Amino acid sequence: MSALIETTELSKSFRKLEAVDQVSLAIESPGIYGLLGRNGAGKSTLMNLMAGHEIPTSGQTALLGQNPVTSSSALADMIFIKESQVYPENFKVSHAIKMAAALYENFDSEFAAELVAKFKLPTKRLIRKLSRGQFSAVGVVIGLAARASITFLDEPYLGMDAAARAEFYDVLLADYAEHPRLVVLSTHLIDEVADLLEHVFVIDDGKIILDSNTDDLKGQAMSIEGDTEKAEAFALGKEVLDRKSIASMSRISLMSNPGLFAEAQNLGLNPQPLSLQQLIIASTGTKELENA
Amino acid sequence: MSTIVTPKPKNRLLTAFRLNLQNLFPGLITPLLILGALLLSFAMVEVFVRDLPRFGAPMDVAPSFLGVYLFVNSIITLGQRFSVSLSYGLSRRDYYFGTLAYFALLAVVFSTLLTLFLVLIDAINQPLTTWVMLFLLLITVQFSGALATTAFLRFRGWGVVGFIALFVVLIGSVPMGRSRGRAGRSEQFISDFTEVAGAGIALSIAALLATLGYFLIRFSRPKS
Repeated sequence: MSALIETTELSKSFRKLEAVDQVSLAIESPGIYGLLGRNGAGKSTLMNLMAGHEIPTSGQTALLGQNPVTSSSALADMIFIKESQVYPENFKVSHAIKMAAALYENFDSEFAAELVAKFKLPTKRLIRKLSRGQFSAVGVVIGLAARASITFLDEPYLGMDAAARAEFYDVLLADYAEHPRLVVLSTHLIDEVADLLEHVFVIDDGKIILDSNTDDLKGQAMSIEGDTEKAEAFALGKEVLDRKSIASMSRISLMSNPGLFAEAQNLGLNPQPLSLQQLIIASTGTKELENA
Repeated sequence: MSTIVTPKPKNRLLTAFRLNLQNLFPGLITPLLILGALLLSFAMVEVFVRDLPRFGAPMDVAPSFLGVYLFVNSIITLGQRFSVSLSYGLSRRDYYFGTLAYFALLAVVFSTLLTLFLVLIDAINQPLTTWVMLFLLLITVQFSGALATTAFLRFRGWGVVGFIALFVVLIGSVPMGRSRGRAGRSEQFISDFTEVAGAGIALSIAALLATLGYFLIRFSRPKS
């Protein structure tokens, strides 16, 4: 059986900008997958390519084994919720929901009504008159109620406040548990979604720099804090991700292994496991994610 | 490896067609209201101010009005729903042909209504021929609008420039033909056609426009 999604040396360039560069990945089983990276790293373009909305400059993409640009059957059970979705001018919330209900066999209208109430969406209002958070909630309602086998969610929470985002994560997890399917979620709020994700792809400058199960990542990286001389001696020969120094103290992030934690403790250094967000910040060499 | 069981898909082309029926205002109700007002005003002129010179019969104005309205409507309809339709899993092909089927339905509805009206006021004696000519006119202008939209979706601004250039060349060829004295021959050539042949040619033009639009939309990208 072919993979649910597979890309082979997929590239997309816009004039001189290489938005996606030689990306090869395969998603073979359902689950919640995270596509993580900084703003402008290429997350949305990669999702657009996987869903067949963009035409690749080179390479191939397959959705359920078929080309998503031309195949009707591959797209029939896929939904793509984008933060930049364009709706017709005269569309009300109810129109968008009815449209999705007409298109998806598994669309759960009761669940949609439940979510509409939960996110306090005014169904009779024109979509263009909604606030940014309400606009995002329309996508969340449709994306979840459609129960499509392949669900792409591109920064679906934009403009939502922290409470609404927490609500979204809870609903996503509960609904996924009841109706397992493939959800690909792109986000830069990594700490918020870290517990939801089974697998992560980290993209930076259009390239996939990390493709791993979330469980495998736990304990894969650590930071050590302590005297600079001791810390530097400890880090010698190891894969260092990031280093910061203040006066005679240093904090060094490095790739870890099971014995390393105890070894650092024995040397009087303070080892800490890196969170997913810290690992990605260290890997992509920026603080931008922390501030997002 | 666990698998996903996908449900049997609905007829996507039919669904794309039905999606356009969700909101009947822009395509059907608004032009009907304007058309009704237009015809009513002509009727009132006929009844109350008979002595004034006539500005033109409803038959002269209504098809032109409908043609322009449906041309604009086809551009808006096809362009605005493209992005959301792709996001909701419709293929470009199903979306395009489903929407063209909706345009054909509008052409059927309005050509039928206009023909009925003309029969009622006893303005025509060949209703079938009138119906066919109206239908072909309305379907051709809508498919032209669809072609303009697909040109934009495929090539953005350059697509529109290309469409306008094509339009200008086609329209401009008429006075150019006249100035070179070829009009007489062309008009004779056209008038030699039987009605059936003329309808066949018009239908072929509509089909050509639809096919060109399909080739353009196959590799179009939604605007975000």
